[in-house]
Amino acid sequence: MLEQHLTEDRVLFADPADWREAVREAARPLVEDGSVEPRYVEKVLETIAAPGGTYMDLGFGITLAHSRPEEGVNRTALSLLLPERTLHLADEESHPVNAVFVLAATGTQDHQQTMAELARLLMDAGSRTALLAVRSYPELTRILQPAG
Amino acid sequence: MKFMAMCSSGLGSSFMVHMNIETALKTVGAQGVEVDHADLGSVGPEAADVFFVGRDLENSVSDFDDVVVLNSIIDQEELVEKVREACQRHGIATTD
Repeated sequence: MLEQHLTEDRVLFADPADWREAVREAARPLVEDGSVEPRYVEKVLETIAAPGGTYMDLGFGITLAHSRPEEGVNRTALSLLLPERTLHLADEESHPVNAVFVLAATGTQDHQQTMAELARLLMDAGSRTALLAVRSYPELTRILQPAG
Repeated sequence: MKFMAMCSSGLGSSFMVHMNIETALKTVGAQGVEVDHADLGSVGPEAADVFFVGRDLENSVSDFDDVVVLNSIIDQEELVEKVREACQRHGIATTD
């Protein structure tokens, strides 16, 4: 299932200048295909920059950028950006970023299924480490398949 | 007995913690604990017995009695340890 969300056009390898550019770039495929409205991305950026917003750092360099359905989600979707260099969420040294997932959640069963699969992938130390080392889409699909 | 995972949106990371708490409860063999998740704005201290939050939201739940602060919400080892401690605090038997 995860590989149905993380299609090749929704997985980006880039060299963004900072965390904001990384989140914007990571969300771009979802804005372009209409999964989210542009305002969703602005809300996510605003939330991360606000006090406590770095809770979206899940740990181990993985950020799950997300907001609420009413902030402009049209359908459940997920995208991923793997930056070339380590960034820092909200410019805080204690929040390194080596992978940015953007989650658009509708609040339905559908989104829960996606989250369950993402959790299974990220809770597994082996696949988590492998994810952070991925440098091409085919490499990613090899990690997603056993988890999906 | 109720454990509640919380985040600002109530959908992304709190839901992930919710699922991981359920897994952790199975790991430690605890029974009779209900698990739920919510956003910070929508529930008060009476909504659950133990609240789980990421370290960045610790200040948002200062008026809650029993708060478990997680350094990483995807570190299952940390979560299992803290779920086990929470069970012990509330007199819930664990088998492991």
